[in-house]
Amino acid sequence: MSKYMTFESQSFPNRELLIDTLVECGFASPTQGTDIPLEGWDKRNPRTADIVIRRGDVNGQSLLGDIGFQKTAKGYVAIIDDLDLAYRLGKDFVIRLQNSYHEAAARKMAKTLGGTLVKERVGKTIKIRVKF
Amino acid sequence: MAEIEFTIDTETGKCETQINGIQGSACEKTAQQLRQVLGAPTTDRKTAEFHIKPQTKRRVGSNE
Repeated sequence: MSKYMTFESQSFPNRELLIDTLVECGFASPTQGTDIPLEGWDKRNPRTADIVIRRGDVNGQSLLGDIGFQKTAKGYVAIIDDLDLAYRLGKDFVIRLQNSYHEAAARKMAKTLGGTLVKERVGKTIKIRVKF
Repeated sequence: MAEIEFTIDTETGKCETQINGIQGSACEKTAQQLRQVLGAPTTDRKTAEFHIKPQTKRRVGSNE
């Protein structure tokens, strides 16, 4: 081993990878822009985001509000209504998204380096080896 | 053969990466590519293998 790094932040640094991840997770058409107003949020607390999944585009969930991702210095941070997280999407929604994002990052690295990828699941751990 | 190993804890979302089989600046270049997709790491440490210098062997004494 020559270098060891861990990544724990609940933000998504790379826009392109985040979009790929959202599409893979079934959110087919995220809206992209800057400070897009989120619909369905309390008018006393209006929110904006740079990547938006419209609540009407989330099949079978009847979300109260749009899902947004706001750009910050550390990457894109999810803006999701607490009630949607608790009763519809699941409290672990962002963690599941993170897991998919990390898998997408491994695939991107394999492609960038011209390598091969082997994925293995052991219990609650996913191991991915990119050989190049 | 060089390798990057990703270990994803699906309960916490934490991702560990290990770059194996390459040293020095080549390793740092791969680490930089990882940072571009995964962001700033919480832990970032070089291991002993990182500092190993590639050795060149010279043949001596063959004057036939």
